[in-house]
Amino acid sequence: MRNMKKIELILLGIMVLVIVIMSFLSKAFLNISTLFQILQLSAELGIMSIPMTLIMITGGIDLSITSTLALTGVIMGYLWKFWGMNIWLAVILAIIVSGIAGLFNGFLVSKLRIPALLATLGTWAAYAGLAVGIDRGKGVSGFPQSFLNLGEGSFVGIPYSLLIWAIIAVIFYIIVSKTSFGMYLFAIGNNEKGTFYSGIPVQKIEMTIYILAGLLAGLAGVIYTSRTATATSSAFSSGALNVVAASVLGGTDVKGGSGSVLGTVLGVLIIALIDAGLTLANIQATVQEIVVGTILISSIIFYEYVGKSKVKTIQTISK
Amino acid sequence: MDEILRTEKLSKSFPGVQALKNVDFQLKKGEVHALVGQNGAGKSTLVKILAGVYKPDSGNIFLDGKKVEIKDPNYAISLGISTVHQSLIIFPDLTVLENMFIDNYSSSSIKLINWKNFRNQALKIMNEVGINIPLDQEAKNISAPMQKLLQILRSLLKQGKILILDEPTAALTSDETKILFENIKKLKNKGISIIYISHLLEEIFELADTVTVFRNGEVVMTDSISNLNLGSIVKAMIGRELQTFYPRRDPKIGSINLKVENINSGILRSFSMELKKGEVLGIAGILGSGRTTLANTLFGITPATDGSIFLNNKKINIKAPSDAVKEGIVLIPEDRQREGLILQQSIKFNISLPNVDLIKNKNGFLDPKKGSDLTNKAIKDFEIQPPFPDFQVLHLSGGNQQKIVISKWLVRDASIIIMDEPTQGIDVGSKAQIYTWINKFVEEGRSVIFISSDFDELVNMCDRIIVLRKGVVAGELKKPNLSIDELIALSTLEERDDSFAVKSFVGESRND
Repeated sequence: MRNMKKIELILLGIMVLVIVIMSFLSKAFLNISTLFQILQLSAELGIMSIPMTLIMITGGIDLSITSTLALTGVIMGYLWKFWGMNIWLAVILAIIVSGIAGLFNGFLVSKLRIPALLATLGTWAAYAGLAVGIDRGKGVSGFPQSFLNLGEGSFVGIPYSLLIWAIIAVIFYIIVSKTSFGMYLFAIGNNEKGTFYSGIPVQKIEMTIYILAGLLAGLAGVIYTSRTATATSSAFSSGALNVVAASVLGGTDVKGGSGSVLGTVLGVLIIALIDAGLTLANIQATVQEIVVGTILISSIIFYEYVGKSKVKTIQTISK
Repeated sequence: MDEILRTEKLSKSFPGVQALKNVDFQLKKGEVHALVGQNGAGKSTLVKILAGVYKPDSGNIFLDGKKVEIKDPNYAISLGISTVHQSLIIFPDLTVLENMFIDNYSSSSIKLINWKNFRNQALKIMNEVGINIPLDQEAKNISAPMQKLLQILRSLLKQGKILILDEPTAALTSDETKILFENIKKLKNKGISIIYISHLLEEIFELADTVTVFRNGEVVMTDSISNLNLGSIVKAMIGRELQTFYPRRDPKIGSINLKVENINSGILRSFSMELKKGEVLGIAGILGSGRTTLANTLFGITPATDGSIFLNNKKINIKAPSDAVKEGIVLIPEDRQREGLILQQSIKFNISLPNVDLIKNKNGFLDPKKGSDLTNKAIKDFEIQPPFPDFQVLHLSGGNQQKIVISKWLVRDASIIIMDEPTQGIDVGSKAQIYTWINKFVEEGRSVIFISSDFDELVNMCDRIIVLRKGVVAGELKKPNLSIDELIALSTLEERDDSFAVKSFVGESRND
């Protein structure tokens, strides 16, 4: 069990520190619109890391969501371009497919009891292959402006994609911290058998979160396609690392039982800011991957040895 | 007799608990010294200090009159103090001989293992203590008491002078216990000193020379067994006189509540039974008789493959625990820690988990205040110690953990409660409380299915007992004809001579 309140505070401190350091590197950093531009690049990461957090709280993982993202974009582009379908209908159908991709993951993990790491490693490859097969490496572009607005437009200065991320974050924050569904996630992560013996429909809950992960990866795929104006099977190809890293940095325990939506949002923000800072400082993209990898490993070590919540003693409780 | 081990003012505390307070304890050469006390009384802490698992906060330990500091488990073994743990640590596919030397192979890892030498050592020690186990059998093929003795011999091979036996009979039947006891007595006669921990007080009278009673981390009594009786030990353990261990109840048995017809599930074969309102129905049987399968089937863990279940004359379909809970059928599972609780979480979390419907506000969100109220009520009604909703369940004693498992179901309106070994490994005080709740529960017109290996408990608590053997009903006993002898006979005898059947035996529900 981790002390999430403490972890969230530490992350908030780190984020402020990163902003301060970055603003020394580049004057432009403190400008609100620059900040929005930076964060806009991370909207898909932010949206996908939320269901990833839910899954990791139950002790699972979903490595396939970045492939689902690419698959959604490709299917949407294909339906629009080659079938002449209305773009928004294509979006809806593609998101339904992403939900089915999530359902299949849920089936493998909760019904067939295949370890989530292996099941979703398999579907990660399968969904990516499917996307490549549909796309044949060509990519689709030339989308109508009404669709591109989703990725480019803004509401009172806030990009739509960031608004969508924020709304999803708030909804899931409430689900995780205020509903029985959220409580069950932690119970499953701590002791799946004991949760089942408490009369909780464990399989249904696991199924639900994998479907949610698929749907939100689909939504992220739509936003990504709109933002880059291209539907391609290579979309977000290195993103799985970032999604896992953001959740883990946010305090989610890979072994299950701990995690928070707020922590993960802060984790995404910190990774996004560091990424942007490194870009501004003209540091190569390969180095950025090293940095994210290092963040992933060091946060696991940090939380394992430092972030543990202490056993509550009678004295502290009775205070 | 000479003293071999002595502790002086030994103290140890953990966060929130003083586990041992100034404990003076003396072990004599060649005696069986029983440690008794409720869960959390301090006996495990003492033996863990002696075994080098914990370091004392203060106090001294003297071995053969010399002061020693037992810094780790290996050092304890080198001093001749060996612990035989409650859980069986054997390697089932290795032979007895291989098991005996499993932790001695590597004394010099380059040299080949000299099996002949090992065999001679093993034969010598078995000869010395008068115990005989076939060395070339695979460990899984020897009987349960022999497996326990194998563990003991493994300790003796390391020149053990002091043996700590932690509930060695927990997984044994009464016949197996007898075999183990005969062998323990042989060890004693060879001058080995034994510290014996058990919850079964009857055993202590059979085996122990001296008894030390712990309560709240202190030694409250040490005396020779000949000066003691069951009453005086129980009184010392709980600090007051226990009037009647099994509370009295005048059964008010009503109409049929639950009816099970010809179900198959796992080992259970076309099993049928009826349960009445206000009834405590016992289920007896040895390990593997289908007792736990029955509990798990009725609760939906392993749903029945065919047959029917009726609740108040309405056919119900139990495919998962959530279905059972909806119908008001709940289970206190056998494995408290893995099945009954979420150990990492608080008392409040555990009580709330199956009862979210009771603690939601009108918008459907969890109401922390309602959760606290429900938890505080459970803590008060069931006398859970310590009484703090945020306390992590992991750090509670076995008895208090079991109270949480029971209270998390009793706070809701269940009509049938299935208890699988509800009193196993818990102290007498908590046991008596559980019995009282069972009585209260059925007096309200509800029913209990009570599964237990403790026949004494079954006979005293139940209105009727169904005996299972190899998945079928071997017989049924009814009040006032409940007897332990008959339970043992029904549950263990392979072939029954018809003349053996006593009047109380009602033969029914056999394979038709």
